[in-house]
Amino acid sequence: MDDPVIEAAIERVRGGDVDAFGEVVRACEWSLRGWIAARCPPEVDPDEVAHLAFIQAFTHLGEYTAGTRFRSWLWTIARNQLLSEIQKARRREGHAQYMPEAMRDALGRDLAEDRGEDEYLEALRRCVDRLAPQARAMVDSHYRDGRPLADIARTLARSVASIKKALFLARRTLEDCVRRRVAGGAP
Amino acid sequence: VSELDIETLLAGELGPDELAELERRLRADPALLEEAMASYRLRQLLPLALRGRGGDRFAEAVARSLKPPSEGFAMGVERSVRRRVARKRRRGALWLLPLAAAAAIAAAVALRWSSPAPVPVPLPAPIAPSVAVSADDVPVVAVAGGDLRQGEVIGFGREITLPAAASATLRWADGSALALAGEARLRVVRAAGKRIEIERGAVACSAAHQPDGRPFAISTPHGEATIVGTRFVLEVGATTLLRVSDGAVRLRDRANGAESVVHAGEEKRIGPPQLPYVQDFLTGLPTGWQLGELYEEPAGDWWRSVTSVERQDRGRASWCISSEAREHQHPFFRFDPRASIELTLAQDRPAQDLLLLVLCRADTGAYVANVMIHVDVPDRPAFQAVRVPFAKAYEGLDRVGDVPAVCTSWLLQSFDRDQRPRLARIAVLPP
Repeated sequence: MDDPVIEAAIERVRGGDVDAFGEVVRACEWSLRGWIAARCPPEVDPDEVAHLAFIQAFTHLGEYTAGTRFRSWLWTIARNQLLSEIQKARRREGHAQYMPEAMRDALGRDLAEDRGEDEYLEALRRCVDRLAPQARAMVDSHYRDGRPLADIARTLARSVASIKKALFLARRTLEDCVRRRVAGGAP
Repeated sequence: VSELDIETLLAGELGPDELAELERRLRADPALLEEAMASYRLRQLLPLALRGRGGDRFAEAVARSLKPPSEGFAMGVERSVRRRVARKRRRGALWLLPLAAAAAIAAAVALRWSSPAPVPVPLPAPIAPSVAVSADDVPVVAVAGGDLRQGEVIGFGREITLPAAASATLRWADGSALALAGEARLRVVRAAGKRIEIERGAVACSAAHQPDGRPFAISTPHGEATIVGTRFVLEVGATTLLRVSDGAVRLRDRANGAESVVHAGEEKRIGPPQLPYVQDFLTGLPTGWQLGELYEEPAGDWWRSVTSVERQDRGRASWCISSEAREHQHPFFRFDPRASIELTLAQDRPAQDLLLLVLCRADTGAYVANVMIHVDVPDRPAFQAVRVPFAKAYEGLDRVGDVPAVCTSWLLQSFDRDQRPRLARIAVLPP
């Protein structure tokens, strides 16, 4: 959906058609969730941030000036929401234990960027389809279905260490594949 | 880093020395940092790429959280409630009724399907020999809670009172189980079959198929549920709410004797008409209400949106008071614009308080309007009844119109931050 259609949906929301906001969500959720996920530290749930950002956008829709790039406005809300959730998580958990501060700083720098992740996500989807069947099954089980490594290891009658290693190699393969695709160097 | 598994790193499996070394190298080598970030980016985006677009599912999840833009006031209130409840949950507050009820349901289901074959229990001496009783009709405590000890036999006539923070499960010889939560008060009654009288609280029931003529019945002040073989939840407060998840339950309304069958996936409420509605704090807080610290919304001017209830002044609730009906999905009363609301309260100096009612459609639960009413309280430190017709609402009434609406939340707020109104009773009076 392009911006004029989003603008039309927003106008309908303002006119009392609350359901029209669903069109706005459907049009933006994929991009927004990707953008948030790529900038989100591990202790924050990116989908929760996206959810809250949409609610904020709906609540403050009266403050949006029609025709002034809704996506930019929404992304600003999401950025603030993400910062707020990061601060809350830090207060809750104390100092982060698992992620090096250098990586956290890098995430913080990325927050200022509006660069979308759509192209990356599309490339990643295509690369996943090219994985070997067993690697694909493991990747699906862990990253799509959220199954713990021990569970997958039991099912496949393998050790947890071997599953970890296989997933590590699958991610390396995907990284290389995505890098080539985004750079335009691979089918 | 190129050989480092990002998952190993994030799982905290590196030692302090290794982490310090990694930190140093990441700071010193931008290319290395870029590589680590690329791994993290892929790890973060992989679930999204695999699951695909959220589409309707995500949009519907957002839609469930939405209120019309003009509902800013109520949203602030509700957000406060949600945060406070979430905070309590994080602290492991077991007294929270929905949580306790969920745990009780899980316990009941687990008992129903995974417990070993029950052992017959000795029959206590019958109180009166008027009906044929069986040892199978006497439950034992399967999961201890409150004063109930595991394995204890609950004889006929025994009154059980469970504090708010406790839950317990009773089990019969045929595997039927009853999980109790939320300040439950009930007793096992001598009858042909299994019979429980519950005065208040929430119970989750998982019942085996009962033989003809020996029903499993649960009576409440408002009616009686007769079970054939099913799973359901019964919540007893000002009314009785029955939610059936499996099978069917026959429900009889004590007020008019009307019987109805509630099937799986359905719910039915019986009890007194929802007007007049009376909430009395003189004897303490009713079920589902919570004591807690004052809560101030950190952002904006929501500092007044306190959603806790304090026990002060001989048990009366004070300060800003709000319901949590939306949390429990129980409407308080059917809204009639011709009716009035009566507050019995005291304030130390004259004030104009604000009463907010959040109204939703009685049939669909969709939001309708916030109705806002000024309540003028004269200078009287003693308790007094102040009555205000709904028709005097200064906002929101025009949006209600002929819509059949119920009040799902209410909030009483003082605009004087130094003044704490003390509320003893809130009632809705019929036209």
